[in-house]
Amino acid sequence: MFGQTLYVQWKWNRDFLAFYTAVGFAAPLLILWIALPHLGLTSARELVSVGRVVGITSAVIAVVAGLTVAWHGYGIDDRVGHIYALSLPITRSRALGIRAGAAALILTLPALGVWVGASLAASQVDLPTTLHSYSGSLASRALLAAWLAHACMFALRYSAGRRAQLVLATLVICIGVLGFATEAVPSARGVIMRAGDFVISNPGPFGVLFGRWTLIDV
Amino acid sequence: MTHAISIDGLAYRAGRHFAIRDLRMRVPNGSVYGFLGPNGSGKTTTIRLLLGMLPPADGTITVLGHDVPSGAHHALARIGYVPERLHLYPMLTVDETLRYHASFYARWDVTEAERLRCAFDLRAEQRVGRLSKGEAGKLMMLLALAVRPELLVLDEPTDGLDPVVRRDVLAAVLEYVSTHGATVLVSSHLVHEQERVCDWIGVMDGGRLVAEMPMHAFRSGIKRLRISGAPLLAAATPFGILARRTSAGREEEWVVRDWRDDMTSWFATSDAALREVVDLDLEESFVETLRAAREAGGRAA
Repeated sequence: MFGQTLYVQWKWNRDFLAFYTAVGFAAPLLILWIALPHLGLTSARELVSVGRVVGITSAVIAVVAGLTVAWHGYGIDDRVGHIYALSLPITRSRALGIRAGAAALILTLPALGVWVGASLAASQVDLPTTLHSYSGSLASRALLAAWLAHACMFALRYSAGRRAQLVLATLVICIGVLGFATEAVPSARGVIMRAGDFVISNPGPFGVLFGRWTLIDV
Repeated sequence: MTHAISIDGLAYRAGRHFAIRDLRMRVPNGSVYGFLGPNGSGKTTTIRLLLGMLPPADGTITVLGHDVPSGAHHALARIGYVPERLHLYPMLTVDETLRYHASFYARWDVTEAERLRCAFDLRAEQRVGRLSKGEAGKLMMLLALAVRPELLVLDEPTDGLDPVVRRDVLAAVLEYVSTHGATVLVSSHLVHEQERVCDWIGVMDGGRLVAEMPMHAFRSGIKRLRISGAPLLAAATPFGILARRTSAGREEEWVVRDWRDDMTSWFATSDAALREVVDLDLEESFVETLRAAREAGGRAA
């Protein structure tokens, strides 16, 4: 059951997955190839900066991959009115669990692309002894970010259904209003900032997305 | 358990204009139950409710001994379901669809699935999204039959199919039913098709089940009577009057249900003369039943 669901998810999402895996693989190499000619061999600070660009690019790829697979994956059932999924002899919680598990597994592909690309890119650079490359950590973090992004969009899509766009737009407006409130209402700034810090800093729920993403660091 | 499907007091509302209210329905074990009704009468909604796809607002549903929706997944494991439209994943091939479907059913019969695939002339490598309407109908029927169901729920299974494919599909169902003694609930607005295969019938209209009876009772019990000197009030008739229309002179035409031949004597006691008893075919019976139900509904409103 899980194997077949995994296969269906793979077949439904494979174009996106191939794209994100290829981009995840190529991005670190391209960024370093473009940046290296402009760097001095001993410029540790510049190497760290380039490593950060690679890291942030990987983060964006991972998040977008997670969001896309969740959004697109819902479409497979939505276009047939969910009749097939609902007519199968399985509880809804188990069906959703299998679907989420299969998606989590196929999201390892873009992370794998990031790992191989980042490892190859790092091997092209003679790092000073004070610096190290973290391709494995970067890929692991990309995987966690992809899972988190997927989980959020998956929950939104399967709970809100066709109202997901509306819910998403409302969330964006709420964040905008809170951003405006930090400027317009000074007394509320502290509370909003603390709440925001809790959400985006480790060990907050979105900490993995907003921490320090880098391929090369001390 | 004498009924494969048992529904009591079922209520469901979809939007502002459609509701199922206090629906009671019994599908006897081993029967082929024709679920008749015009488009939009609530047949598909009722089917989705009894398969646990929609949550009822009120009432109880029991399917193969399981409460629905709480135990729907247990019931669904023993049900073959063919929806009115293609519901399968379009990017999968026929073979992949069979494997995917099989993975959810412990009762899946690989040999039977392959036999039906060949009999229906479906190519294993063909994509579902590229199947013709007839091929898609055959594939859905194959999936429903290969799970060796105790209950087949068919929602307009032959709607839009050409006569050859329709015959193939119906033949496969009848062969399965005769071999395995399964119960069938088949929804359709194609009355003549139901007449050939069903032994029970339920007529749905405006979210209500307006008639439910054995097919023979429906077919033989509804008659058109030509009467002269008809009484003005006909309250104490031993049969039900579905419609009453004036024809030439003092003659009237009544459409009645629950008719038996020995009821002719009632006219002698009421100073009326029964001129003719006309048999109605299933379609006429269906139309008259609907018309009577709507008139009764209109009067009640």
